[in-house]
Amino acid sequence: MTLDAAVGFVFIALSVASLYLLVAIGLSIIFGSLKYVNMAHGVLYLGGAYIGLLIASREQYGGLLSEYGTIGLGWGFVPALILTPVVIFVVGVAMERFLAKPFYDRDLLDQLLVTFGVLIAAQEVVAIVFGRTGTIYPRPEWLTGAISLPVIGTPPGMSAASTIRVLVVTLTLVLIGVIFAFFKYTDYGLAVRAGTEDSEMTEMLGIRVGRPFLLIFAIGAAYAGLAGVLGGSLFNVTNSIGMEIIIPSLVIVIMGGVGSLRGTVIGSLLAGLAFAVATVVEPSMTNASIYLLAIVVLTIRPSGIFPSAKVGQ
Amino acid sequence: MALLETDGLTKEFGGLTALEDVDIAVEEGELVSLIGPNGAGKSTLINTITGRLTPTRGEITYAGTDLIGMEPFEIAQLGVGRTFQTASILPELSVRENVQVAAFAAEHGSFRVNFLSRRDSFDEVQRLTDDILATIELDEKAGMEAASLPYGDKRRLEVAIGLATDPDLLFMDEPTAGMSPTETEMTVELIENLLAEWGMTIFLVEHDMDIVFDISDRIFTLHQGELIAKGTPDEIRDHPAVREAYLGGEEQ
Amino acid sequence: MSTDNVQPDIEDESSLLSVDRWDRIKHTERFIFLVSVAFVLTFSYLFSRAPVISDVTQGYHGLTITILIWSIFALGFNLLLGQTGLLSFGHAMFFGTASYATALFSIHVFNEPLTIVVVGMLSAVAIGVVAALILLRLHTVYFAIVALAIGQFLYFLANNPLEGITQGINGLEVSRTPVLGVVDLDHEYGGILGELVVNNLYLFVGVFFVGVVVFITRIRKSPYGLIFKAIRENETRASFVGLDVWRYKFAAFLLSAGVSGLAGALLAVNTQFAGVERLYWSISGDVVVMAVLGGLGTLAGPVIGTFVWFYFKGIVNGYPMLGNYWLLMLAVSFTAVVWAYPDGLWGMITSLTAELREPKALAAKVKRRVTGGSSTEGSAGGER
Repeated sequence: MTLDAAVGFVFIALSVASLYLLVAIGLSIIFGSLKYVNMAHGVLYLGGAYIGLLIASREQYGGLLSEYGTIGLGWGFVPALILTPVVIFVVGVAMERFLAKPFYDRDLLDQLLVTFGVLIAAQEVVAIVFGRTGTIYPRPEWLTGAISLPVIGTPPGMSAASTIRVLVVTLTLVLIGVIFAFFKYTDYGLAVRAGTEDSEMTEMLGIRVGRPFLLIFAIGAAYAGLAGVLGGSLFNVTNSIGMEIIIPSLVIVIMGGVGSLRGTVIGSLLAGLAFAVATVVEPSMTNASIYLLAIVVLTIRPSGIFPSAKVGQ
Repeated sequence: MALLETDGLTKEFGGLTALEDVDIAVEEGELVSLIGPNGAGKSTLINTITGRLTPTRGEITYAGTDLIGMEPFEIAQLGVGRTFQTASILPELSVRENVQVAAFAAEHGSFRVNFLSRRDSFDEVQRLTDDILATIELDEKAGMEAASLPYGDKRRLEVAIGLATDPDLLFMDEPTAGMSPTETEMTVELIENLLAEWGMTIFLVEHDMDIVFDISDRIFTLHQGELIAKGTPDEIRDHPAVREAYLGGEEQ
Repeated sequence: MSTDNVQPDIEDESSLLSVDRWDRIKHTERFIFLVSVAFVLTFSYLFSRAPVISDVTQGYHGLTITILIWSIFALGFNLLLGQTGLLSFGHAMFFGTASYATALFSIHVFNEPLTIVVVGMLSAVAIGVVAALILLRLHTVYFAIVALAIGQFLYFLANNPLEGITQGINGLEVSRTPVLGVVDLDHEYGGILGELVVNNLYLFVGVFFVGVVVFITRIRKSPYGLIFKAIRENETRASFVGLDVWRYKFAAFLLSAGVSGLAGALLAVNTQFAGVERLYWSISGDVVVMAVLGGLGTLAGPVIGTFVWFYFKGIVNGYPMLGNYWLLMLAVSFTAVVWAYPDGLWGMITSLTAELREPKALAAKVKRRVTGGSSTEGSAGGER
């Protein structure tokens, strides 16, 4: 394999992993901290993709919007990248208050079922409003093609990788770093961690657990929204992408071990790796690869790679 | 040979030692009580013996069989029953069905391929269920949904389920907690009945000292995971270590 | 759920037509058998041909066969979720695999409807054994999602690597042959029988439907039925009374797999086709909605849920204005059921009929609601 191909390979793996990770991290934190499993997290990704599209460009949609001609702000990719997470953050707040909170004390199965129902319903609403045919993000000039990257220890010292993929990976690195820093260095992060251990005790110590949880929920939502914009430009935008991303993301969270951020990161990397390996070795298995990986991992370690003792259901 | 024996039983959770070097022996037909302040390790001891937890060190022998490594259901099938501190019942099933489940386990063992047989065709199971319901005096309410019972009845149902497993040794974890005086009296009567008429051996965990000192043959005292005293009620009553553990007085 | 749980077993001296007697009769196996036979015989007619009724429903015969087959699937799924409390988002693995096995057997080995249906069902059980070994060590949510993962894995496997065998998206064709070499499935009847069942295919599926209903009823009435419920209610307690919970879950899983596989096999025979989409997650999701919407833990619930689902999908879908909203309506109803109406549609129906049976109590209740205060006139409400 040539160096170029190798670098390209690495970035394919990393960009796939990144997309999953951005969605999975929110899922994982919420599942681990709030003991709440949220399939409706996919709505945030879906919403992010469509809202980003509405901000970035002017499109002719199907469905109920078909008679209105082209709709959208047309502000371009970067404004969409910045504003969409903000919008989805707000959506996340609403979701936490109205959908998640009533179910905190309820059975995990009920949570799974109700969020599943909400996701399906949301996807249908999108289909009715926007139509069922897919679109893609029009990519700005600077985002197409490839950029040169310095690669250590090889002449000529440069290699090329698809620009958009580099962007995705870089953004993800930064954002995941932010999350880890949040947990380690901020009061809110500490409160969430304490609340995970023993929410009753934390409440009695005078720390209102509600607000930090809400914050972390909304942050997870914003990440998913951002992932929607990125995924929309890497792949496609249709009404079913919510489900399409949530299934592998859930699988990754579980494979990594619920409640463990490290596990989610490792799980995403492994998924990206499996995907890329399959692309090279046995292309017919690319889609199946992540599921095979998860099945093998969970057969060997039923609690996931980094099982968190706190979430013993 | 004692019915139940533990030898150097130790349970550690990471850095915390919940049980340390506990040696007890329970003779057949006895009623022994386990007392100790909250957090002493009483529930841990029961959980370890009944298979819910695996001990870090030590041995547990029941009727000559080594219990360590056995699953809870296997231990139950040997004849070790238990009732739980919280009413661990089956809410959406009827009272009768709650008891029936245990009766099936007692009569048929841990697993049987009988999904094509009607369950009311098994007479011995029905008889056991009826007997238990009558003994606990829940037969009037047999058709009611378990979740709709008042709390005291739920506790009694809890005892009924434990009994229906037809145990030779029954662990009772705070059976009178939350009961009215009348119900408490009924429970004590039941326990004495079990000893006298059913020939059961009973291992009681209780906070009600009146009951403990009244009906026990022997008492074990646990404090911070260690067995600090064992003996007859009289011996325990005057035991200095016990006094100290309870901070110089009787518990509630 | 509650109506099926608490069975009065104390002898009742009430009159012949009393309510209590009806309560007991409706739970007997013979009654259930008769009702399901009557249902099969009248369903297609009422839905697609009967005067007045069918004009309202706008149903058609083909849809009734599909509904019967999917009802079997929903009943099989319910055995695991409603009875035993285990949620799997991957039941398409049984449905789709059986469908394929049926088709493959008919193409490569021997083609006779009964044989290939049995083969399909057994293949689902085989998958069930492997899946159970993976899944039964996992906790609730893990169980549900990894089941989904297994389903997806099989889907992508069938789509690409195994395309040589499965023909990928093109699918496999199952040619129609007579049952036991004698009975032509396409044969249409005349006269009354024709009016009711139309063709042998409907009878074929109908017989399996009744068979499944009877089988599941027997399971519910066996010790297994009780033990499954006990596991659902309080697994820890069940193990502490001495039951080998793992083996019973394993049994529930295999039974569920077999019945679900039967449905997949029947569908292959019915549609003469087996395709990869039957392994897709939406199949798993659909059956979850059907069972939950109809009412978990009961016999009629999943059937009703299936009917409602296909009514919306097959018929409401075609309505001028409302048509586009069929799935949205189902999804919202499903969500509402999980949120606040756990007994599902069937539960709503039974509690309504229970209230109607006590007209005085119902009247008192309505009166109290309307007048807004506590009515001391509600003496009739104390009647039982």
